[in-house]
Amino acid sequence: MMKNLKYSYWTSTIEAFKKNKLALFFLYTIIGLIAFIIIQPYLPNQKSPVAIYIDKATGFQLINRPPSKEFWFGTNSIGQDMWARIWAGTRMSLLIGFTVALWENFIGLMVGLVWGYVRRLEGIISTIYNVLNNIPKTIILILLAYTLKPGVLTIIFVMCITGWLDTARLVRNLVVIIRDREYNIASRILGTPGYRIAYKNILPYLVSTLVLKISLSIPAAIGYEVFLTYIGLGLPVGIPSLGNLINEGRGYITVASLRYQLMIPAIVLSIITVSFYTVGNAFADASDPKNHF
Amino acid sequence: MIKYLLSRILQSIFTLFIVITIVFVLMRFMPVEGYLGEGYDKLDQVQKEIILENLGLRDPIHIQLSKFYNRLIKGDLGVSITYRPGVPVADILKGKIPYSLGIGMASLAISFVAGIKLGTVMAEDLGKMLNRLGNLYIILVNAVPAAIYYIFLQFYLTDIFKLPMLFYVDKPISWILPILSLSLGTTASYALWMKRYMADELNKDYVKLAISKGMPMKDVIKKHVFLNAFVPMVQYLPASILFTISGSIYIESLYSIPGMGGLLVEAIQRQDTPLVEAIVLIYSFMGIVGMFFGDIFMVMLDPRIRLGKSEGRV
Amino acid sequence: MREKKPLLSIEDLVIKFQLKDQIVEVIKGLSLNLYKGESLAIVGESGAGKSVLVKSLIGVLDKNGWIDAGKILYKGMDIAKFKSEDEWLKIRGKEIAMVFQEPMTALNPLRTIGSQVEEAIVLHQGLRGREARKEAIRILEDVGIKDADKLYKRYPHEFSGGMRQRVVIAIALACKPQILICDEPTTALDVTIQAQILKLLNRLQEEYNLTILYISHDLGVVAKVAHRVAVMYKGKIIEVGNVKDIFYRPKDPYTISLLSKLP
Repeated sequence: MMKNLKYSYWTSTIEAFKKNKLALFFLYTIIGLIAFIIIQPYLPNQKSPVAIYIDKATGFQLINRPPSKEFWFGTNSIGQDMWARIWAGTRMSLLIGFTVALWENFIGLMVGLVWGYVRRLEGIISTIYNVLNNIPKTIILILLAYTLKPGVLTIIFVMCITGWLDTARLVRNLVVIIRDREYNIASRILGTPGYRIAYKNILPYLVSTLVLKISLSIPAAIGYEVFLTYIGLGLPVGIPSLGNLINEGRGYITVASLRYQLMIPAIVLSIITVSFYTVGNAFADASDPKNHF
Repeated sequence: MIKYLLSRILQSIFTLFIVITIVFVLMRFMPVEGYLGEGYDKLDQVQKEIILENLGLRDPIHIQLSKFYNRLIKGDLGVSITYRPGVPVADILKGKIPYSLGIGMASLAISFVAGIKLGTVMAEDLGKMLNRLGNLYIILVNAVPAAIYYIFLQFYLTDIFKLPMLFYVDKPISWILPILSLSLGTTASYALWMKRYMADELNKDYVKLAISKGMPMKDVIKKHVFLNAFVPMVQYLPASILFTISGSIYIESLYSIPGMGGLLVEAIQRQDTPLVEAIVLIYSFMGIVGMFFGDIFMVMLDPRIRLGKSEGRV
Repeated sequence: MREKKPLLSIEDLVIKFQLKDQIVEVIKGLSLNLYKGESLAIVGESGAGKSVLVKSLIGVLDKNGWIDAGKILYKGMDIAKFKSEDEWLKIRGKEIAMVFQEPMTALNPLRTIGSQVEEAIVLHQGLRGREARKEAIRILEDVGIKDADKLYKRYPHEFSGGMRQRVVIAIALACKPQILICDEPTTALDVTIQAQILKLLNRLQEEYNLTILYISHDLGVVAKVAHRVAVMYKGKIIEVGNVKDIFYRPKDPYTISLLSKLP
């Protein structure tokens, strides 16, 4: 009665994703944003994010100038160009976000594979997992960030240390399922290539879960960067990042004319995080076979 | 059943030991200068050593650890060395915990009620507009870092509603903003969970049976779906309650609340080792105890777990 | 036992489903009559559309399916045209009740079996509290659950598949329906339990003069319960007749092929 419609997991996932107009919009936003910040320094008339600009007439630093034709996003409290700083900061925050997301999921994948496959190490890794899982993440973050020298690598390292746990457990559970099927007597007798069936079913699930986790790790990492900067353990002040910019602008919220120094980085950051979050969730829904009809 | 409980308790204690040891080790990497106060460069080597030794920082780690546990067994959480020199840690904590606890509990209660209600309403799919708004809310609260929206909430809402900018214990009206702001994130979480669980349950066979019995949908949801969706959420409650003690560092600094919020960070920055250790101990302990009780709740509520598979089948 | 006018009459029913971008016609102009007091079995292979058909009778079709054309006449109403919950509440339970295929998941794991039967009683028999409970115990005993008052407060997972199916039947009976639909109620059970359940259904039918609509892909099972048999193939009824006629004097080649598959 119902013909076997040709079903390809990935095609169906992409189709389901495409139906979500909002997610598509945000996806284009992300792509557009990334493309832009890569090109931005090479566009004509771009200023340096760290250079301090001086008013030629008075000799004073161009402090706290609101957005104008010269400085599209205005200047900050020591005369730096906000437009350049925002995009430099976005580059930095995205770099941190992507690096952390990729690394912690990579580590999680590796650990998960070993955990699930190598029986001898299963006990040890399980214990380590349980212990680390019970330690409040913030404590480790703060302690490590404080002991190590502030810098980009420190921040990335610190965030990766705790982020791999979830992915590791997920991967390990899947590996265990495959491993058990391999020894499944029935499958051996019937001669079904258990391996192949397991791979076909589980691999797509694994890949889509990883993609989901990576896309949600990015806004989380950016959030942590803001947090660490808030408590003074973030990047050194000299390196522009969205966390730093927000911190610098925080004090100005009460002064209407200076509010742009907080609003602009806050809006840019929010657009980034909302985009990734929406796309990530939309992908999760799209890759769920229940939604493939 | 008892065996399971015992093994869980043992596992928890073991974890606690490891956590404390790790923190101890990490704290030892702090630069020595931090303990010596401001005029440290004026002290010569001998004087520095005497100070450090008096603080017990020169002992080998295992001695430090055993001293710590000895104190602990006697119920002594140590004495602060740099944050409030000479003041017992327990006193410092006693003064701060009530604030964080009070605000945290109030906001948790609100989140719980509001979140579950929102999630239920969204699962019932009563209207596209409602679901859209709900989703929008959840996305914004989850994606935008709390640090950002807390600031804007404080700024705009104090203006619009003429609320006080700072927290005062004796002015209840100043409690509103901090509690509400804090509750936003958790409300979104509960709403999302509830919606997901209920959506899952609605697809199950026993729901179809209830419908075919001739039960109106709203009763089906009230009497069958809601309970089943609610049970898996319960295990996270005890831990959440306990963690209200830790206080939000953002909220407390924005509204000048003298709670636990920034204490850990400041303690680490001031290298007040006893204080840090005590706080870490308490937080880890709470996390472990919270999960433990969460598991017990689950067992109590779900007859499948409680009665186990070994009890005879009829 | 058979009155001239059918209790339930399906006329040229068409049911369609939306799958991805395609619309599939699952029931293709089906007509069938059900008479009061009889036991009518619908047989067919998996995928013939049997479940879809009966789900449409109580309005629990999956969300992507709908009735496109045709009538379902029952007591002067055309069920096929029902849209709102209020309309369906007139039918579900008290007129038509259903026994599902999968006893392991048909009951709410977090509530006692007694309470789930009692719920149906409160809904349809207007009893409450102690009286409802007494009646629930009576029905549970009636379906073969001994010591029902002791087992009342037990939970579904404490029962075996066969016992759970009895509970499901008890729930259906508690609604005091005119028509009882059994959607492959024994498929998930093993053979010995199967026989018990079939015996139970037969007894209940005689005792309560039930009208039963029995779905199965298993002709052997059908032979034990049905008075009449309708053979379904690809969304249509291709042959209807008395049990004996179908088995000994089948007319349609498909029916013959089905019979030939019996051991």
